This record gives sequence, structure tokens and C-alpha cells, in this order.
Amino acid sequence: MSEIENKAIVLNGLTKSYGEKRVLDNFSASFPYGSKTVIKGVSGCGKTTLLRIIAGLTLPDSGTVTGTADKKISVLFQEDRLFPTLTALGNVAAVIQDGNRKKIAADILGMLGLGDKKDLDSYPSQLSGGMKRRCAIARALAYDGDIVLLDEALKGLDRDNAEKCAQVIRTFTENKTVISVTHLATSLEDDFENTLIMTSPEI
Amino acid sequence: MRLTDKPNGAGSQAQTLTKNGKTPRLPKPVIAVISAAATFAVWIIIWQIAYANIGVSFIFPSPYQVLVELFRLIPEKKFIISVTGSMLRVICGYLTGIAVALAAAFASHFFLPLKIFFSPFVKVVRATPAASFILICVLWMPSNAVPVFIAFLMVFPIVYENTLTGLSETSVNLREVAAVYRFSRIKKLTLLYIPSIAPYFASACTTSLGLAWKAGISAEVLCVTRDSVGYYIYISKQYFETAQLFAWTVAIIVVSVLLEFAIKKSVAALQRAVRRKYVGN
Ligand SMILES: Nc1ncnc2c1ncn2[C@@H]1O[C@H](COP(=O)(O)OP(=O)(O)O)[C@@H](O)[C@H]1O
Ligand SMILES: [Mg+2]
Repeated sequence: MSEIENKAIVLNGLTKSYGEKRVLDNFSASFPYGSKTVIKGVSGCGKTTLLRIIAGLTLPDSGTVTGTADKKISVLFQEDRLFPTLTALGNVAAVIQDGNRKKIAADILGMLGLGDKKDLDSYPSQLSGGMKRRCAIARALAYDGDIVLLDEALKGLDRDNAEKCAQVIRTFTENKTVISVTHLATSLEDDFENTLIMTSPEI
Repeated sequence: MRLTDKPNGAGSQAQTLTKNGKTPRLPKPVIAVISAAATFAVWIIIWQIAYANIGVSFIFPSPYQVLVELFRLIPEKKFIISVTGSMLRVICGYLTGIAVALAAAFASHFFLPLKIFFSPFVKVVRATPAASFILICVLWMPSNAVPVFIAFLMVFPIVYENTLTGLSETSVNLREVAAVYRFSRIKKLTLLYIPSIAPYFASACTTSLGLAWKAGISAEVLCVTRDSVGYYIYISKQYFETAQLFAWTVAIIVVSVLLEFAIKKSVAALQRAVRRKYVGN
């Protein structure tokens, strides 16, 4: 067991309820380091909850998560969650720890089609839904986590932008452990080696 | 016939309308000044009528008598000394109050026992008349310290409670982002907490300054603080120099308006500074 734990994220018997509603029931899975997994399931089946437990943002009622303790974790939340007081550039630069932060941030945003000065200097309230999503993606990638958790990554993006983002995410997450949850698989997950189907415990 | 006439008629009417719209009007600031002056004049007339009906200067002086008294006072050395003295005392208590309240609010937000500890204090201070505090404090501290302390007491609960409200409204979603991306304390402060307390803090600073100024003057009156506006109000009252009492009051109102103007400008500048782009290193 401990041998796997040094090489993978291991979820063991996770159970989580909100009030009467059981969201996870004895859920176990393992995600080898460097592997890419897509978790599919209908809306409300507990995908976001599972991701939050892996990220340490929600505590399970029982069960354990191992293999995440000393790792940097990038989270692309289901919502964009940009800081309203920061520009697109500022939002991305804020998570970069060293180097020329503005330049790195501008480069990533540029790859996602937000490289114009006007876009870089726009506040979230001035960006369209798709632009905000791309900015959130840029932030998650800029943080350079060992583990990358993606929640409905390409949500709300048109076909061209979704393709562009999928490409950039692929480039940035090479050799990283990626877990992507979605109710609607996209081109991003085409070459992911593992697929998990999640079902709601009560159905 | 009528049908063909109508559009023409309507057209010419529309033209006259636009012409009317374009007739030169007074610019807005001028209108504002005129209406303010007119309102002021009406109140001065009411004051004058009241004076004429009462007819006893030492009970109710005329606007003219007060104005004469004010202009007699302004060049005097004691005027400038007492006005600056009173302002310094109040501003000193005000700024200390803001600083202590901010620190206390942050500490209370992150450490519940402290919040519970402060809760009755804040409620009692809010509910107690300033006069009670003044008369108690004068037993304990020198008369020139009481106004400072009273100003402090007026400011503390307002800034404390408003800051706490702002802190409690920090977005949970953004807090999680800050946690996931391991933001430093400074980053959390500038990105999460300051933006969320800014509007509450700004309004607390504005409202509490007026309160602090008025309560500070009351403290000076009741403590007979040397070299203060309150002291001269007290003296004027003792000698039935009612016109002088009014003149000092006018001075207090003017300072009050100036202080409010100054604080609004500073708060706006502060908020701009908070909103400025944060990309830095
Ligand atoms: N914080 C919460 N409080 C109460 N119920 C919640 C909470 N978070 C999620 N739920 C419920 O748990 C279920 C699973 O939610 P979620 O994990 O967001 O599903 P998914 O991401 O698959 O759409 C839903 O029924 C949702 O209403
Ligand atoms: Mg979800």
C-alpha cells in the first residue's frame, strides 16, 4: 500500500454527506503521479465535491486522501473566481512565485488569446465570460502545480477557444498529475489515459 | 389637405423645441451656488424675524450681532489657539480610535474570544451618552485629555463594527483561491481583506469624525479645558455673552464642514490607492 502511496494520489473510502444527502459513498480511486484522468458524471453527482476533497478544501466525513501533502496543487475552480481588484495580468501574476512574473503571466495569457495590452489591463468586470474563463485557466497553469485539478475546464468557451485552451493545457501539464472532472467530455480529455464514470450513490 | 399639412406642422414644432432646448442656461455649479445662497438667505431672514419677536439680545442675538462678534473674535490670538487646540485634540483621539479599532477588529475577526470580549464594551459605549463618560473621565484624567479620550470613544465602536462587517463579507470563494495558491499574509490583506472592508471603513471614518468633533467640544465645555473652543463657549454662557456663544458655535460648524470635506477627500484618495493595480513584486 505505502509503495503506491509514494507514487500516486490515493483516495480511500471517501464518504461525504450534506445533511441527509449522501454525495460520496465509500469512494476509492488512485491516480498515479504523471497520469491524466477524466472523471465524468451527470451534474450533481459529486464531482466538484470530490475535487474539493482532493484539494483539501472540504473534509470528508470519513476516508482518507494520501499523496497530496507535499505537492503543489493548481485548482481550476468550476467558477472563474478572479480577483475583481486585479487586472487579467494581475490575477495571473499574483500566483507566480518567482521570476519575471508579469512577463510569464503575459506570455501565458497571450497563448490563450488574451495577449493584447487592452485585455491584459482589463479588470474581470470588463471581460466577457469566455475571456474570464481563459484568464482563470491561465492562472491555474501559471501556478505550475505538480497536481492539476480541473473542474469543467472549458466551460462556456466557443469551439475555437476551447481547442486553443485544450492545446495550452496539454503543453503546460505534460508529466503532471491531472484530474479533470466534467459532465461533458471535451477535446481536452481525448488523450487522457484514464476515465472514471461517477454515479450518484442514491440513484 | 390637412394630412399633408400635419407633418410640416409637426416638423416646425420639433424645431422650435430643439431651439428652446438650446437657449443658453446657467451652468449647473452657478445654479447650485445661487440656490444655496437663496436657502441661506431665507434662514437668515427667519432668524432675524425670530430675533425681532424675542427682542432680548442676551437671550437670542440677531444674525448681525453674531457676525460682528465673530469678526471681532477671528483676529484674536485666543481664537486661533483654541480652534487649533480643539482640532488637534479631536483629531488625535480620532486617529487613535481608528487605529485601535482597526487592529481590534482584525484581531476579533480571527480570534473569536476577543470578539466576544469586545462585544459588551462596544454595545455599552454606543448606548451611553457622551456626557456620562465626560463627567466620569474628568475624575480620572486631566481636563485636556478628556476630549481626546471622548473622541476616541466615539470613533472606536463605529470603526470597529464596520470593519468587522467588512471582514465578515470577504468572499469565501476568493479565500479558497488564496488558500490554494498559498498567498502570503500581505497578499491576502491587499486582495481579500482591504477591498472588502474599504467601503465600510470609509463610511465609518466619515460619520465618526463629525461625532468625535461634537463630543470633543462637549467634553471641553464640561471639563472647562484650557485653550479650547469649549472653554470659551462655557465662559460666554457664564457671562451671558450669548452673541459670543453663537459666534463660537458658528466657528464650530465651519470647522465641522471643513473637517468633513477633508475626510471625504482623504477617504476617496485612500480608496483610489486601494483600487490601483496590484501586480507588483
Ligand atoms: N456546500 C454544500 N452544501 C450543501 N450541499 C452541497 C454543497 N456542495 C455540494 N452540495 C450538493 O452535493 C451534490 C453534489 O454537488 P457537486 O459536487 O457540486 O456535484 P457536481 O460537481 O458533480 O455537479 C449536489 O446535490 C449539491 O447540491
Ligand atoms: Mg461541479
